[in-house]
Amino acid sequence: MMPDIKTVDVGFRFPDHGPIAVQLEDMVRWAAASGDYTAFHFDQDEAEARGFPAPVVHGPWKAAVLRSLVESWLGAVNIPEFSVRYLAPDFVGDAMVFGGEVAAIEASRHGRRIVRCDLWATRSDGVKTVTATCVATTDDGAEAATDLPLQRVMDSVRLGEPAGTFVYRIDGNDVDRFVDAIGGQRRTGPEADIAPATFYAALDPVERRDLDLDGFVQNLPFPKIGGGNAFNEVEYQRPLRKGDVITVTTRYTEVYEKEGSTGTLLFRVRENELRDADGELVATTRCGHVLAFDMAIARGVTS
Amino acid sequence: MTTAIDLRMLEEGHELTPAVQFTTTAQLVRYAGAANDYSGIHYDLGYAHERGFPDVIVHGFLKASFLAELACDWAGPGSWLRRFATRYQGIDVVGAPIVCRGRVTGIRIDERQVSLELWTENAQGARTTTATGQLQLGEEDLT
Repeated sequence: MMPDIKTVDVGFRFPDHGPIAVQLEDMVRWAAASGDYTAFHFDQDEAEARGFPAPVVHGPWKAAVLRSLVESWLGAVNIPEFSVRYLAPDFVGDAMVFGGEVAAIEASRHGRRIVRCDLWATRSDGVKTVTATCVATTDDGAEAATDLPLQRVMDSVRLGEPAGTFVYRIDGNDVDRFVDAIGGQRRTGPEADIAPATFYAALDPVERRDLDLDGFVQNLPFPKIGGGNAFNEVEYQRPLRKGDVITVTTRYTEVYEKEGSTGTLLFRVRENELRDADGELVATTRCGHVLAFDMAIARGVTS
Repeated sequence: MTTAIDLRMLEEGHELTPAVQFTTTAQLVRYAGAANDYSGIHYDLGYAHERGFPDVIVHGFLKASFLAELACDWAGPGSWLRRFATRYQGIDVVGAPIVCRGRVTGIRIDERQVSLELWTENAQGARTTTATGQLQLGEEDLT
């Protein structure tokens, strides 16, 4: 019988998932679900034009497969942390194998069992193309706590450390689409390739869900009564332009709480550094996100 | 490249001609696609109600975009924002008029830069988005 999150031991190797041949349909469905319509993920010609033998499997699709496997291996769990590294491309039609094992087990001070897992995917020649780590916890409902666990929020976003690096190519059509969406006027003449000042929004790994460190705060056992972006700032060295290949590194720089009129406000501030293909700094951005919790309700329930 | 602004004639306190934006759900969906921001409060009425909003709400970043475009349209061809900072003070629901305003707060003639404060107002006159920007103007028209 498969152990679950309450019985599994350190070193337990989960049964492999696969080999499965990734289908083109998987990629098209993922594109539709994610909104990432980058053509080399489903267009053979586009893939070959970039030197790939076949369409490239979406990285976040591979991460999503691994994440869902953890849930099926361990039963009903929370996954407050999940981080993934893409080591090499995978191609549609190749047979992939997804696997994982239990790396460590800890107990939270509230008695939850915390299971740390190492995960991976290999391609048909046995090379690892993805590695990931995740933290799964027993889903025992509300913890007996009445304050926001700020330190654990800080840990969950890897405060101060690079949380993720992503490369985005600024396609001319994407810029035009953005200009149209904001009701702006497309630039013409020598400045036709300049993107709008707010286009950096489209290059934010968190808004794009390429970087998701939200699990921990989303699963906090306090009633959420609101949230959203509190502020955005950008400082450009030069405008973003069509054709730029931009490497974005995200770092959370501040986690703090404030008492607001509607409840306890949890702020998380992240910074993105945008560099071009030559490694030159193009822009730095800051985004402050706020979540409002009704701690009075939480205290009433738990005390 | 030429610019529409004569910096020597410009004075601090100068107000930009306001623009009024009436958003539609279709525009919010277009923006969601263009920015890869698919939070349901911007197009899913049931979800917006669940979250306690009277209607779907306008993306903060879209309001920021309105203000950035107001600044660049005013400044003319070749202009771009070196710095742009936005604070979201309140929500705007889809369809409600969003009045976009701006005012000159600083002028650096040699660098051809203009500082601005910008804001959106709702129909009640409350500021729902406030921003500051530093515009870099295009080359001077020497013709």
